[in-house]
Order: sequence, then structure tokens, then C-alpha cells
Amino acid sequence: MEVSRRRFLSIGPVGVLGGSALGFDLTESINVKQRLRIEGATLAHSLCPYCAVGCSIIAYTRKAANGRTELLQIEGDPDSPVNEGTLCPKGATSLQLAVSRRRVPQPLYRAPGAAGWTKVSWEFMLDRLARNIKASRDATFVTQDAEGNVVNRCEGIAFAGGAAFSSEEGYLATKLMRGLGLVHLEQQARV
Amino acid sequence: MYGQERARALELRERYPHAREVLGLYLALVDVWESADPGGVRADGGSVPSSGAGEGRGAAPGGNAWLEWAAAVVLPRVMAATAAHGPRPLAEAVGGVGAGDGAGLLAAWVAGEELTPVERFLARATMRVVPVERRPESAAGRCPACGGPPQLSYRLASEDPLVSGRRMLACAACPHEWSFSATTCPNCGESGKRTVHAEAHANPPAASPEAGSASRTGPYVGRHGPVPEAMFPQLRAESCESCHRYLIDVDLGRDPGAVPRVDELAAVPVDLYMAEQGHTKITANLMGF
Ligand code: SF4
Repeated sequence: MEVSRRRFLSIGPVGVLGGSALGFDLTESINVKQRLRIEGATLAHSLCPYCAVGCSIIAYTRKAANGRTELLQIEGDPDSPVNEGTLCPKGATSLQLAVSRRRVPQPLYRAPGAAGWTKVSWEFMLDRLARNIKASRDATFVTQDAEGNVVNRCEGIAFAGGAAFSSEEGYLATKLMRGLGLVHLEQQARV
Repeated sequence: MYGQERARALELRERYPHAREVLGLYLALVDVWESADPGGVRADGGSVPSSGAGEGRGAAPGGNAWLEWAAAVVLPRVMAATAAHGPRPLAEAVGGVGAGDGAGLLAAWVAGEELTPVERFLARATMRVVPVERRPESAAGRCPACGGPPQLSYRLASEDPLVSGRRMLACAACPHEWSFSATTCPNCGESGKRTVHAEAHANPPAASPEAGSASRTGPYVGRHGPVPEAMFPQLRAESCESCHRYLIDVDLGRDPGAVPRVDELAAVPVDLYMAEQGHTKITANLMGF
């Protein structure tokens, strides 16, 4: 039979019950779909906090059953002109800032001469830190340099800020350390 | 080009019984395309030449000549392959019908006219080996070569595990593929509300004190390997929460042997899932999914 454009137009949908618009049998696909466990993750743009390169990252998150947002994965943003999808090993593991199997949830203390670590309370740890800082500061505080200039500085303690610091945390840390007279301040973001 | 598609379709037809019908018809069409397009003249998506190029095209002088050639040479073969290898309702609808004003049908498809699903299928299957005219101006998310909508998205494999491969889109109307933002909806341009739908553990591992909060329960996305029991390790769907459209995304990093246009056809269960979630594919594929 010769077919005209009209004739072609008369070939309508051929879908049948349980089939697609072209008549493919969907029974098996429906069975597979019912066995599949698919979940959604939301994409968000962010920046690697570790150094001044400022690589762009894509974070995958999802809302957990308890309503909290869970971070699932972090990877380089292939659209970024800065890093074009690449991350250095530090950035590639930045997920561990939020989620890590190896996170130490409690202060650990190794007493002088001891071979192992013991769990201690936050009170013990903060008190110990304060005492050690005071002792080091008292022992190494310099009021005058070799030429007699007043300097009032602590040369026996150095401080390194974490690259994951917020601006506010960085400000607070700098204020505190300068208040103690420290001059050796560094930031991981510059390393 | 066709060899790769054929090999992958054969492989997936064995792996996915649910896609046997779809891939069986696709394999028959691959034979048609290969026989009608021996020179692979569409590979560059080039403009219509002024004279016939390639065996079987006769003295096609350009203009609508490609459509006439396709209607006379390719369409009857597509119809015969469909009648022989398509699902019964489709085969019956197509069988016994001669190729009358096929050029009119193809012209209507090129012009973007409303067609029935069967007409659309015949036109698309036929036009696979016909050069399309280039349209230099094209909207974002549309094919830079012909202006057609994206059929699917895929991620390039990267040899370095620290590097995320670029995202590519493949055109639904021509063989062109182009790089596109990994986090922007090709349909509406939204870049803030993207959701990736991927397989998760059917039986999530119980959280142990050792694993802490890092015990893996959510969808396996990004550079993560797939869930061990994944049925579609190389596939996921990407949807936009603004326009509720989606594309199947094929990750060549997870399966370097994947052929995106073939793998996308096997994703029918994922398509059904997405429809259930209220999402519509940006454009249905050749087989209407
Ligand atoms: S730490 Fe690495 S990934 Fe992060 S910004 Fe610097 S170079 Fe980029």
C-alpha cells in the first residue's frame, strides 16, 4: 500500500495495557523498578577550605530520616576555571572534616614517659593545656631584645591555625595568641 | 561507531532481560544505519552537501534531497527492520505500510511538528544517518550544532581518581555531543536545585561504633564506586527541582565500556522510577522512553 503523509499521521499510539507508547512490554521493567532502591542526593557548590588556591568543590548531601543534612560526597567541580574538576589529596579528603571513621571523639593524653594514650576529660585537657602554655610562656617570655628595645614577646610557643577555621575563629585565635605575646603565628591555608 | 554500539547493545541485552525487546530492535536499526551510512558522513554533523556523497545516495543534489533520499532508501529499511524486530503492536502498525510521502514525514519531524509516537520513532530512526543543517545560534542547553534538545548526559572517565570528569550532553536530534556545566539544568538553566538519583544499599549496613557516622547508607554518588549489588552501576538520573525535568546520566568513570546512547536505552526501570517521582525526561529517547 502506498502511504501518504496523511497515512503516516494516522499511525497513532500503539501502546497496550502494560506496554509503552510504542508497544514495548514493560512488565519486566516494572519488576526491576520495584526491586531498585534509588535515593536522591542534592548538589551544592562550595570551596575547599584547606589552602589559598580555593578549589571549587561539589558537595552531595541528603536529608536523613532524622531531619539532619548528611554529607555524602565531595569532589572537584569540573566547571571551575580554578581547578577544572581536580583536587589535591588534601582537598579530595575534605569530606573527613565532617565525616570520618577515624575522628577522635574525646581528648587523649600521653603522660611524660608513658607508652600509650589514655582517655581524659575535657576539664583535665583544658586545664593541662592552660598550665603548659603558662609554664612555657613564663619560661620563654622576652621583655627586651639584645639591643635593649622593649619587645614583650613569647618566643617559646608557636601557633598554627587550621585551614578549616571560619573568619571568626581565625580572628579569635589571633587575638588570643597576640594577647599572650606570641609572634610565631601561621595558618594552614598558607602552607 | 556502529561496531561499538552493536557490541554494547549485545552485551546489555544479555545483562538486562528487561531491555531485550528495546535492544533487539536497536540492533536491527544499527544494521540499517550501517548499511545506509557506509562512510559515516554524519559523524561530524556537517551540513548538507551539494551532491551525493556515499553509496546509495545517488545524485542527491542537496536542499531537500537528503530527505527524499532518506525517505526512499532509509525509511523502508527502518520500517522493514521494525516490522521484523519491533514489539508486536509496533511491528503490526508499521508492517504492510509502504513508504509513501516519507519525505513529508521527515520534513515534518525536522520542522518540529507534532507527530504521533510511531511517526516520531520512524522519523528519528531514519534521520540518524541524514546530515542536519547546522544552526550556529543555539540556546544554552541545546545542541550547538543543530539546536536539538539533549538526550542524555554522561561523565567522561578520568584516569586520576582525584579528578572529576567533565559532563557531556548528547543531542537527541543529531550525533553531536558537547560539554555542559555539571551542575546546571540543561532544560531551564537552574543551577541551585539539582538532585542526583542513584542506587543505594538495599540493606544498609548497620552503623557500628567503629564506622561511626560514616557508615554508608545514602545513594552512591560522585566518585564513589557503585553499591556492590548495583543493577545499574554506570547509570543515575539527574533532575531539576525547578522544572522537574531529568536526564539519564552515564558515568564512564564507573564503566569505561559504556556507550551512552545504548546504555540510556537500558535505563527503563530508572525512567519508570523518575516518572513515579513526578519528573519528565527532557526529551524521550528513540524508543519513546
Ligand atoms: S588544599 Fe588542595 S584542593 Fe584544597 S584548595 Fe588547596 S590545592 Fe585545592
